[in-house]
Amino acid sequence: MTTVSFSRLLHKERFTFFRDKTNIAVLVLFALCLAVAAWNGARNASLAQAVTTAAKEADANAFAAKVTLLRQIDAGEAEPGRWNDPRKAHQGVLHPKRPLVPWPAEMRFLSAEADPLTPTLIEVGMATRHTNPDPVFGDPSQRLDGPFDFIFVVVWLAPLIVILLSYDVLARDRELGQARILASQNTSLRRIVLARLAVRFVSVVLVVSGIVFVTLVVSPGAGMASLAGSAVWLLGLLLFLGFWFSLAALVNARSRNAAAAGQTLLAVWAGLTLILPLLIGVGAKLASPPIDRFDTILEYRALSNELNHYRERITREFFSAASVDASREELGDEYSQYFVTVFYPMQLAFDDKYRAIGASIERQRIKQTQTLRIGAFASPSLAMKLLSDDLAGGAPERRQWFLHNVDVYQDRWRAAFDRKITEVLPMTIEDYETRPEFVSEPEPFWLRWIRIISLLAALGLAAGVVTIVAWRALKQAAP
Amino acid sequence: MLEIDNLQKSFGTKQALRGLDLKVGPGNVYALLGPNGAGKTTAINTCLGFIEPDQGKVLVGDIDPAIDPLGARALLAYIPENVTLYGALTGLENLDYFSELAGKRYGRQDLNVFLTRAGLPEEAMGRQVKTYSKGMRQKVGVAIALAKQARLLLLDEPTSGLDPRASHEFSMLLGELSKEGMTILMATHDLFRARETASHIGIMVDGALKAEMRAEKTTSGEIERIYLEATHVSQ
Repeated sequence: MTTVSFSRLLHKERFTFFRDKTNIAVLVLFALCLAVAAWNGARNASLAQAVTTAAKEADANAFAAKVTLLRQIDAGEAEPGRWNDPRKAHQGVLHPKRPLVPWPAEMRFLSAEADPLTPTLIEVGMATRHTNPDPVFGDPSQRLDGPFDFIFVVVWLAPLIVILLSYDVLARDRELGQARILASQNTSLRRIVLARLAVRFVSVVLVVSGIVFVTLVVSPGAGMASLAGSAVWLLGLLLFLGFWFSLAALVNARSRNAAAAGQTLLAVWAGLTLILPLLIGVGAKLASPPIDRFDTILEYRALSNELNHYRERITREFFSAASVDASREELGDEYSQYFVTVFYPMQLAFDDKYRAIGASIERQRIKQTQTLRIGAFASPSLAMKLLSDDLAGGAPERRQWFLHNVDVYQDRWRAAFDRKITEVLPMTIEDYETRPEFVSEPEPFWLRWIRIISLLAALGLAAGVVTIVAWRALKQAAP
Repeated sequence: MLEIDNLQKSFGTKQALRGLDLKVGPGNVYALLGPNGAGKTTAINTCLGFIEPDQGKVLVGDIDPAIDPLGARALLAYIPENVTLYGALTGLENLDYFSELAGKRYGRQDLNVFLTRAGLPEEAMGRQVKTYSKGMRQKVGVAIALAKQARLLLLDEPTSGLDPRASHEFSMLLGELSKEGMTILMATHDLFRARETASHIGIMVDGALKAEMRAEKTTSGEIERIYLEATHVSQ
């Protein structure tokens, strides 16, 4: 018995697929959506890089100006201004805010959000980083939709494209009657459906990976890490698309007509992409209630009031730790006295107390996201969303790690200049040149990969189970 | 070429086939007549290996389609009542596609020959099938069977919906194929066309064969009488 080889079958199915103008139109539409998403994502990455570069340049220029002024003052060529005296530690190094930039996200271009869970940069100086009078807290469970970017197009639209391309891969043949002629040939229906879906799968993957590759090339700051990130993301995408194509195979194995198959697939799409993530989001909220902005502001104010009440004690404790007399006259003018004896110690005390509250806010976000990640085992769309968010730099764990780096740096910064403050010692050029610099350590490798592997496992499990069920259903599929 | 022995099949409480026995020798054209629900299509589906019988067996050549459906299908071709092909493809491309599925690879010239043989006008071969009439699609169906080089042709109501001229042409084509040694089993309601085309006629009622005759020894009127008697008894 002569049978057609699978490669030959693929060739014929490819020809048949591309002869249908509707299929080409759907692929072109998908490519256009991806191109817009790529544009938005690349622009987001460019803006983030521009903001970072500008802030770093401004910071470097400001310090260079201070050093120049200090040299001129030392040489007697210039006079220090009242508010611009580089010899005073609080004016020179503690008061200005420094731009701190997180470890770059491998695939920032996946997202077009101006401020995802992890910021582009955070500015801190001697003042607490917690003094945001109008805090906005990202709620992971509310981030299931978003702007028109790769994440949106892949998580929301790609399954619809898969449905459009494959809802009738066998059901229409059955409806119109040619399934009986197909089945009467000596090639099984399962093989034919497999070849048809393989052609569609490869077409969709080629469109996505082609546009991602171009975006990767034109996107600023993309390097080897981005290439590795893209490979992981594409693996997730293969599993995600594999799930939807297998689902289409399963539905086609059972449906008698194309409309019913399409409706079933759309219902599953709505369930897995809209309803289930919504329910999982509600579950995440119930398990770890989101941070209440009003409560946080009240908490912040209560703490501020409490510290104000004990401010003399705080000043005393600060100076006794430094073994310096706080009442000395050489502390300088009225502002310097206020800064050194009240403001600065208060900031340190505030941070000391508030850090625990700030950390609990971050932990709450992480708990929410962890609940979502468990829920992702029930919804491949949610799993793909969380995976893409993570690679785009939006995992709350990454933010927590970055903020921990910020706190460590702030402590180092303060430690370097505390003596200059408490003892009112003048700043030297050496102080400026040896000032601590911020280095954002990337998250520990294992921490990162546990998250990513768990999401890939959720996608792989969903794709695997549906593929096995579809494979069996197709074996018994009647024409 | 085709042997059906005590074939029985039920769908729930409905017994579609009740011990059907039938033999079609090489080069014979067997017309299976019967009212709707008599079990004709179920019998063809069993021959194709689309459904498994509850009892009895079918042999296509020496192969039981219930055991080796792909092996049996390699020997046969099937033309349903309504040949719906892929509308976006031309007649030629449809033939190429189905031939490849059957494991046959032909050049354009060979494909042209099959279509010409089936009676499709040359100007239609390069046109999209969605512009074809039902008769033209039936002809592509025949060309698919020819290209497959099948030894057994199963037809389910092949002339239903065709105009008299197209029906006649189709009957002539089947006659030619049988002369070349192709075995044909055709389920039909069309008594006149059955008499015109077939060498043997069977009347099937309630899942079993009620009467069997040689077409050449029977007139259309006799076939009609036997048919009415057989179906009347069952009703």
